[in-house]
Amino acid sequence: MTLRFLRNKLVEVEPCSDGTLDVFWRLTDDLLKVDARLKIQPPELEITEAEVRMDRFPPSVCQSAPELFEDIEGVTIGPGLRKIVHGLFSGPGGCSILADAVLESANAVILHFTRPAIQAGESVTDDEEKLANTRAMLSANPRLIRSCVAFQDDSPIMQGIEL
Amino acid sequence: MKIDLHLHTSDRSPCSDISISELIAEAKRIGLDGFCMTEHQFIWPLEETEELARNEGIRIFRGNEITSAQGDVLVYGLEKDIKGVVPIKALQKEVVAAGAFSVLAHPFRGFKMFGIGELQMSVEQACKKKALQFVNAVEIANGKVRDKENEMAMKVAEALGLPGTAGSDAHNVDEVGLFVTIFERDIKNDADLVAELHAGRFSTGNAR
Repeated sequence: MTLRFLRNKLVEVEPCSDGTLDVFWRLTDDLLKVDARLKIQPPELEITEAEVRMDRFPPSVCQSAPELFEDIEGVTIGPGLRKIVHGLFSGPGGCSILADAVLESANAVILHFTRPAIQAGESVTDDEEKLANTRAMLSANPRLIRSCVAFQDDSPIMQGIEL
Repeated sequence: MKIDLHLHTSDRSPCSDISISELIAEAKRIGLDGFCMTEHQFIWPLEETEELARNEGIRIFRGNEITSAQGDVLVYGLEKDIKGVVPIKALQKEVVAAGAFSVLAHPFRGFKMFGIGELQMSVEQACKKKALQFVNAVEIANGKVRDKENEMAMKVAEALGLPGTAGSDAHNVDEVGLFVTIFERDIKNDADLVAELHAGRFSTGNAR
């Protein structure tokens, strides 16, 4: 017998006219269809609204997903997010799909801020200019500082950035 | 009455360097009328604090600093043991049911990364912080954060009409009393403390 299983995931970040960001996270497979939306309020990157809808055959532990998902409202995208998300949605009786939705959406938000600078940097050939562009991007988005190895205090990128 | 409403001791919080005996001695030395121990996810047994207070001649109250998903919350008058990551909305439900009092601790602490100044957050934006909907008050003076972060908490509390408390958040003995809450009436026990917090008969100051 051949088993066939197909899964697609999509994350979109859409800037709104009021300065907030809407993040749409969609998962579609043969058993499940999940649509999640998070509203993010810069500059603190707080999740101010969270909605989810699950169709097809959601696991029984996810029956109360829409109410459970609201628990992420007020949480900030930043250090400690993984622990908070797993604390709220994982473990016995938890709905881990919601954890995936939040963490992958948060990742997309970070990429939303970093990608333009990285793309701009790719067209620059001079190393010093490239570094200066990255530092300017970090200064404008201080939430990113210490968010990964490249942006730690002892990284060459961080030299000369006063925060 | 000058009471430091936010303190940690090494007896119950591994992050603190202050033993309970050091805390009592320092509180007396700087002229505090009392202090409230707010360990992380732990509430001191009443019989222990009563005995200490009796022997040492200083008022000792009990609170709890609970880690919610939306930030740390100081809770006074809630005996329930709360473990793990709790959503602030669920925590406030427990607080209301128990007639307790909750304070959003250091609401604009920069996650130990950078200060509120660098975030360039406006008061209007800060007022939208979801956690503020699920507490009775805001900690407007905390000894462990930058001045700008306390200023922002103060402005937000004022804008939203929320009461503001103060506490040192001391983890070292020389931090005790950096900020205190000054109560208008005499407070003898935990129940009095909760009642006076609800009544809003207090202001903030310092003891150093």
